[in-house]
Amino acid sequence: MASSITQRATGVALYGGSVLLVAWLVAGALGDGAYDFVTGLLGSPFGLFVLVGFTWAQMFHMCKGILHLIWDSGHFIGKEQALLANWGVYGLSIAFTALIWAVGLSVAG
Amino acid sequence: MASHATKHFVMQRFTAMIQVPLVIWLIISIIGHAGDSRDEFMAWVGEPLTAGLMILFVLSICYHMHLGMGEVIEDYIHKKSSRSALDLLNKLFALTLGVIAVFSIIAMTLIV
Repeated sequence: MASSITQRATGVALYGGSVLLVAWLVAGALGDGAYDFVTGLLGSPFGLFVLVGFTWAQMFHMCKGILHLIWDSGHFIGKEQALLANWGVYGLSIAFTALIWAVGLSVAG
Repeated sequence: MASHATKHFVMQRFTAMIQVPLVIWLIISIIGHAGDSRDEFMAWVGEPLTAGLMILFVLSICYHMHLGMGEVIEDYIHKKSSRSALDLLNKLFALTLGVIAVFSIIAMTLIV
C-alpha cells in the first residue's frame, strides 16, 4: 500500500530532521551567537519551508504509527476499512499540519 | 528469552506509544516558544518538567529511529560488509545525537 512506503520515507526524513531539534537545544546551551544563528536559520523562508515539511512528516508518521498500533490490536483490518484508514491518515496529517501552522503563525505573529 | 525480532517489535511499539503524547506536548510547546530569546528558551528548557520530558523524548526518538533505519538498511542493503558498516554508523549517529541533546538539556538546567 502506498502509505507503507510513505511511512518509511517520512521516518527517514524525520531521522534527518531530528538534527534540527537537537541543533536548537545545542544552540541554547552554547551561547547567544549560536542561538541567534540557529533560530535565524529556522525562521528564514527556507527554514520555515523545511519546518512545514518536517511538521507534515511528523504528523503523517504519528497518524500512521497509531494506525499500526490499532492494527496490531486486531481492529480495523478489513480490506475496505484498511484502505479507508490509509486515506484517512493522509487527510488527517495534512489537516493537522494546516492547523498547527495556522495556530503557530497567529500566535507568533 | 525473547528473540531479537520480538524485542525489536516490542521496543518499536513501546517507544512509538511514549512518543504520541510527547510529540503533542512538544508541538504545542514549540508554538508557544517559537519566538523566544535565548534567555526565555533556557528558562523554559531549564524547568524540571520540561527538561525531564525533553530528555525522555530525545532518548525515545533516538532509540526508535535507530530501529527504523536498521529496518531500512536490512531491506535495501544486501552486501554484508556495507550492511555492517551502515548499521554501525546508524547506531553511532543515534547515540551521538542523543548524548549531545541530553548534555545540552542538562547544561541549560545548570546555566539557568
